[in-house]
Amino acid sequence: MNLQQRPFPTPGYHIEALDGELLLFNPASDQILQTNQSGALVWQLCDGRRTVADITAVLAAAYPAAAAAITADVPDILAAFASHGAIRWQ
Amino acid sequence: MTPSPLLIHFGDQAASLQCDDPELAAYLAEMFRHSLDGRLAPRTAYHLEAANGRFILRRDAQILQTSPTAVALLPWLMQDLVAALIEAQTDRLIFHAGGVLVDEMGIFLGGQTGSGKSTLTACLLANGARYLSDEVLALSAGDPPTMTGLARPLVLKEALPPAWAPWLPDPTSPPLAAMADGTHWILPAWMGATVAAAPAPLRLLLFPTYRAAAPLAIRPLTPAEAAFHLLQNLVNARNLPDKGVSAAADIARRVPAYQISYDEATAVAAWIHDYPL
Repeated sequence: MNLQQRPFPTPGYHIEALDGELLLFNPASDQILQTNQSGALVWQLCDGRRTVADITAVLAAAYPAAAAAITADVPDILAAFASHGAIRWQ
Repeated sequence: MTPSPLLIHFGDQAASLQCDDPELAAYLAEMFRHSLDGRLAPRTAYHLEAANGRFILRRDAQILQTSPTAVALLPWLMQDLVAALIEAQTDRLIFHAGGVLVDEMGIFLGGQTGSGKSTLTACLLANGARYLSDEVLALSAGDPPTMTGLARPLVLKEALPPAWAPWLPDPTSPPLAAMADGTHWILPAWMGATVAAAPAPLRLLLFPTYRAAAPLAIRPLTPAEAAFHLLQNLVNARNLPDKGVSAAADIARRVPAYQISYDEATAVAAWIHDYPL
């Protein structure tokens, strides 16, 4: 994954927010992805403008005590979104 | 004289079952006695007949299976009949799930075939629960959500010894029918349990998995995890708005949920007994 890539949500996904977590449902493929709260935060930052590095920096600044874990987790979370088709790159 | 067809229903669907053999027809009427209702027009017609020394199971005149014995066709009949009754349901969410009432509070036991939900359901019946279903539950959104079940006979796998044998007051007395697929059909009454026909409030979502020799492990699920598990067991998604996602999420928001790994069903029954429903 290139840290300068800019993820954005795949159009058509149905989003259900439940206590800070998310269900991402693709009606076209019937795929469902459930995220924890970290995944929900990452999802909200996937706007097609922020890069992977930007998303990591925003979250690390918001949660400095967890900065190291965030740096490791954000690419994994984005990879999971991409493998389910929930995000695309530009 | 040919017996009258049985009219078996669940929710807004019904099927007719014509069995030409009077003794087998009486047996099937007993097995499906909690699901007989003539008010709905059947969409599917099953016919179990004898011809040329073999038995034939037809659905809407099409041959599904043939066998030298009628009893060998019953697992096919059960599987196809349940599918016919649930797949076209449009007004509620239909799940692969067992369900019981404990103190009139509904408990949902979700899981795919082989997860042990029928055995767990049987254990709970033996411990005083009322029966909804061992295989199919319908949930309706609301506060609280409500649940009804397809009250077929429990279909329990044979094992040596069967886990469920101790829960029958006298395992030798009921007319147990050993099916060709290694299952037994057992009426809840044989375990001293009654059947709940009216919708019941859903109070607890459980997703149990049987693991041999594993200690009892119970983990609370977040609402998102619970909704995800519900959707994995939803069988009529294609008939529902947004494939049932919003409705499943609404139920998951309102009802506590747990994932359970167990070896001894009695340990789960004891946990449920102590749970503050």
